[in-house]
Amino acid sequence: MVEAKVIADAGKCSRSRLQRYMQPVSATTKCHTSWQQPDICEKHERNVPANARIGQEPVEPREIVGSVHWRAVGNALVIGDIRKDQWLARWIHTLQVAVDSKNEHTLDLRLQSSAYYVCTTMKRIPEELLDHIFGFLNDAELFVLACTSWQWRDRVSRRQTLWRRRFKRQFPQHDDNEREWLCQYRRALAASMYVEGATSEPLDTHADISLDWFDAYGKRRTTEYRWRSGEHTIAWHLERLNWSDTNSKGQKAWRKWHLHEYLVIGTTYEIQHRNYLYVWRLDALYKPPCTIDDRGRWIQDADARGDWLIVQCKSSGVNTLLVYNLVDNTCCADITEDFVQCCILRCTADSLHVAWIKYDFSNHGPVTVTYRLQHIVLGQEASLWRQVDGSVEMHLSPYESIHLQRVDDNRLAIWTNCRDALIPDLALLEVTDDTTKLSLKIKWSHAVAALELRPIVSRGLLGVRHEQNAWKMLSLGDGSEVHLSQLDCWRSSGLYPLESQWLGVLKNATWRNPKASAALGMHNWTSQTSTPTASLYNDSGKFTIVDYTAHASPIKRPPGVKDYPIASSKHCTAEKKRKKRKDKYLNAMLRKMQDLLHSFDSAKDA
Amino acid sequence: MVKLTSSEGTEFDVERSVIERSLLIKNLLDDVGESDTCAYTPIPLPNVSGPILAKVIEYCEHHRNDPVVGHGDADAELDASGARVSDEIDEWDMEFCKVDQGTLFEMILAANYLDIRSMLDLTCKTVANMIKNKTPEEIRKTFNITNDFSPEEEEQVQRENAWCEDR
Repeated sequence: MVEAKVIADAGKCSRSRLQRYMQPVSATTKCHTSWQQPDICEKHERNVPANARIGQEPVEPREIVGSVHWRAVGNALVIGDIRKDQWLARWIHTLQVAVDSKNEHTLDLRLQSSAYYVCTTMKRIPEELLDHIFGFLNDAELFVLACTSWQWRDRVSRRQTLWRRRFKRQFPQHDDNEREWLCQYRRALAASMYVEGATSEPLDTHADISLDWFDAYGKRRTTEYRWRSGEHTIAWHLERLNWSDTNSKGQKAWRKWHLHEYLVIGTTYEIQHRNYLYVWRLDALYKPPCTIDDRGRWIQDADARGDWLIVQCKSSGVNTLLVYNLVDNTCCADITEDFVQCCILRCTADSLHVAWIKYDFSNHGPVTVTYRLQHIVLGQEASLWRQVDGSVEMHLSPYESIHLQRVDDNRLAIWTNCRDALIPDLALLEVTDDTTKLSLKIKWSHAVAALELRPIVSRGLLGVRHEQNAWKMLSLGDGSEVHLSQLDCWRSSGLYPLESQWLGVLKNATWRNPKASAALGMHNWTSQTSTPTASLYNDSGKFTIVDYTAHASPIKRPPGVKDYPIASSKHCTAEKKRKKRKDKYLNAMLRKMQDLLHSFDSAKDA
Repeated sequence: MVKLTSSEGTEFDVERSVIERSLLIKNLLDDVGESDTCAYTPIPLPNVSGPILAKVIEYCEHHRNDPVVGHGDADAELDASGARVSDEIDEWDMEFCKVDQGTLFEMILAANYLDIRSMLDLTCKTVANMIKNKTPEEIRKTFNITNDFSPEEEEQVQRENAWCEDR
């Protein structure tokens, strides 16, 4: 325990009153209790020595002239200036006052020590410690803090590493919908910068460097919030596909793939009994599409991912798989294989993993489904492609087929709809792939009578529709059922809330689809197609686009407001050193020039 | 015993086992060795004032038997958003942190300077708890922050942050 020295006031307070606030260190909190009480606010005028310093900042005498709060902490008197009713904590000084034994009642307050310190406010906390404090705050709390002022918005938003880490943790990019959202955000950002003239060329949407992760995080949360709360705007349909060079009349679209760079549409021409596949570049939708060359075969099905398109064809009863690279529109492989369905699991610039299944669809009841995963590498001989096979028992009902569905880069689902079978009708397969060995194993299987699957990879779940519009959730980890409420807006957008929020949504909560809004004049039968940011409603040829994005440019600091300096000791030291080096260099250069001039003058005189 | 000198020159006598919770001082004493020098030569702490040093000593005395938390023991519990959990503060620590803001921030700086990880965590948690569950206006009041948004900017910011309502 530290013994308190006597602290006195310049005749304005009695000593006994002062002693009330002289507390030993262990009782500091009691001092604090009475700290802000008005009865200890006194008026003082003090002369502070000219050489007094607060850290490196000189103390200006005027700073502690006026109304002051004071209190005793341990053996010190702490004084704060409260002029203009503002607590200027940065000008709090610690003063040690000597005892004047001759006059116990009215003692002069004298400065005995030149040691002062600045009582720190939140503003003055160095950046590295602020990181530590922010580590204890969740994202919503940090955003609320950023709403308080420009300075705090700056201090919160400039932590790009923190925001990037939290973005990727909460919205993992191995989820296709999350990846699609980020892709659209990049596009919107690039477009807005291009339109506003901030850049002369559209930004590279692959580049991370242009992203403000604080803004991206806020916008992602806002998009899901807007979907859920029905806050939408009606958007304009800006671009029409160029169908010239195609015989689009009489053709019906049967499937579309919206890739990062391409749009692929499969059409069927019923008169000719032929299917076609057309590919547009997304940045040139106004140009005619490339038509995929089916080599005179009948296109049965297709799948697209990244820069790749695989086409399942049939000719003279033989199944073949054509592999197209969309970058140069070339067919890279023509594989003859007896299979029923295939899909691309994952791909890179020069290779792709293709999964396929086959079974005897003429049988009903228990059937063996054989599956295969093949790693197709561009420019490598087919005999060198790695592959792995396996099989699973499933129950095949009449009028049903067995489906192969990609879940994410490492998982596949094989499923069918069979209501009364004891044999599992849904199996989740997981791939492990190191450089030497490729393996594909069944992780779990269940009998769930699935009608539709919706992977929710970002939350580790698999949505299963098992009756008309009745959904249940299975854990992707072990297939166990997870009881969480489901809203249609989440299924439409593929964007899900954080787990903590999701738990707070009531079981009976419902989402009001905009097509129910009288203002939009749509009907129940209006068809709806959705992306993570918008929905397209087709009401017998009348199209309405409902937009849920908040992709407007981020709010910008007005020019008059100064940037808040980084209060980092390291930063200051580095800055000082740099300035010192620069000064040294300039002085040396100056001396050199003077020497040169001098020698030049001497030579001239000579 | 170890003698510490605060920025104003006040001397504090502390048991070595107590102050060794500060990794800065522990390393210093380890470097000096077991000589008697450290008992008589005060260790100057120019960045820590007397009242704050007294608080630090009080903290170290109370937690003298706790395991020392170093920078490598960062196995902190995270919530769903990736933030560290800050609601687990014991009663004594909570009482210890009931000081005015200036003192609290000085304690943060001192804990950081003296490298007392647990005290740094505690004080930072306390500041974080002062921000939690508050509206922007309440935070402004708590930390005396001047609102320099124009009404239009504030409206836009609030519109953008509507999702924070269901945190």
